[in-house]
Amino acid sequence: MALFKERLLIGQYYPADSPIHRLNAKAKILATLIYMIAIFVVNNWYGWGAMTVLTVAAVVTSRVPFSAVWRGLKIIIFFALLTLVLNSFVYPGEQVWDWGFASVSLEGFIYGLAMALRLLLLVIFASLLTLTTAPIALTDGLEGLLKPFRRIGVPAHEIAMVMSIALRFIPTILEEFDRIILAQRARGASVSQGNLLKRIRALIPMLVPLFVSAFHRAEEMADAMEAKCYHGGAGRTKWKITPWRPCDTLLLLLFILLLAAAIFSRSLA
Amino acid sequence: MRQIEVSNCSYIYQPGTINAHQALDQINIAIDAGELTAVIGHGGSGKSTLALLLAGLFAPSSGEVKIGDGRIPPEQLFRQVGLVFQYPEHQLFASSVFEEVAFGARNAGTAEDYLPVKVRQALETVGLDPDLYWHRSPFELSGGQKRRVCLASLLAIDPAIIILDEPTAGLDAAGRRWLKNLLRELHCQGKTVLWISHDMSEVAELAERVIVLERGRVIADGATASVFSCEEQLAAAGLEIPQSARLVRELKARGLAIPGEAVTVDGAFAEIAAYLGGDGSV
Repeated sequence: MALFKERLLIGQYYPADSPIHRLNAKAKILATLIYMIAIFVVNNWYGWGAMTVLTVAAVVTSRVPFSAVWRGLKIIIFFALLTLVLNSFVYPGEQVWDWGFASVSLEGFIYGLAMALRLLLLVIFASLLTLTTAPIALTDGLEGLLKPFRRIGVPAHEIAMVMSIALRFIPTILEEFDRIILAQRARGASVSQGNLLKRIRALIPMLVPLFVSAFHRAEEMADAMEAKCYHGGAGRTKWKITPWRPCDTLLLLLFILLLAAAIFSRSLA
Repeated sequence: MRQIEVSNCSYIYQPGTINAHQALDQINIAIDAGELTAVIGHGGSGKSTLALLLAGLFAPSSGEVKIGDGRIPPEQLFRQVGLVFQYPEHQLFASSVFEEVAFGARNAGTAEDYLPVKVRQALETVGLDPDLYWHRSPFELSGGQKRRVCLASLLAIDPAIIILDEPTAGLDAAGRRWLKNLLRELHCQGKTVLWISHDMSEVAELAERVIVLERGRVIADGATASVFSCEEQLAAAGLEIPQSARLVRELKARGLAIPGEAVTVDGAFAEIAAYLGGDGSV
């Protein structure tokens, strides 16, 4: 019996002591954003090769075991394969196989391969961000990055608070859901029998208690926060401050260079 | 008649990951029909996991759990083994007490016209007036009443074995007294009752037999008085003997001429009363 809590581990923080773990969360978030742009700017195999090397190097440096990265990749592998297959059939070009109703083109296959690689690299790199950054540091970093936009009305602190509460409660709610499912199964509930309508109706005894407890928790949480005199972001100071160090600046410079190289490599293709 | 047989049973959470945790380690338990057994052990000793295995909700990582003749398919096991979870009121979902209590019985295949009879019986067993509560929403009831509804929903299935995971947790004194009486009543009806508890005096008062779990192993299993006589062994598992037992033992150690063997409040009272020259009646 696999429990939800045990299955959903995508991007869960993996505590370790590595240079990447020690970087400032703000620098890591920005670097990830630049990486995302770069990977879609690159349009040739030299570029994709270089990005692969960079990603693998980042994973190795982070000291996160490959098994932890792999766990988050399982679902994406399906989409990557789908991209590959769809592109192979749809992309115009020299036809390698032709069955009349459908044909596979070599260009399509290669383009599909590149798209699948892009997707995989992107997910690996993005999950590396959450694997090497504690949720609190991550939301703190996000708050720091959003702060300049407060002048135009972006509620930076509130967004970060909502995010950190959501992150905090994901495992709790999954655990709760597991418990409820077990409790209803102990009363003979089953979602794996009957037709679709019956199965959907069988979800009611699982979902109603889940929502009841989620609302209950939210109310309790709000009361607890108020009891501790929480009143939003104004005038709030931080207990732990991660300083911005030279290596964070270096990381950003490196990624800006990477983006520049990616843009430049387009003109070569 | 042997009703529950657990042989060489282990259970591992998240096997093969860094979070792997062995909750049960090769345990052997045999329980006969009609026994009233308490399972004790401190947090994380594997009590709740054992309950889930017995109810067939978890399959053992190794070993075997045999209920009855061992031929009941897992999805039908709930008719035989009723498991009441800790804080069962978190599983309420229906819009009326009737629907809530009927849920399990309906899943067990009880005929629709027979359901009201079953629900009525179950509500009476847990001490809720069927006519008063029938149409009420279970969500607007008090905590104690909610728990009664949950128990009723299990009793309506009429399982031969009833497992309760800390049923008295969070109940007030009256609620606890009521629950103890219910356990007694179920025992008298011939049900096999297995209950997980933290309250040693409650266990001393009610159970015929006690199973002590410690880090996933059975470290003691036997008649209540004999298990509670091994004070050191229990202390090693982080458990204390009931206060009444501690009192008579302490008095004996200080030179009072009493047997010092009682485990229940009544037993301790009788010992001390006999010493003081009374006849043990109030």
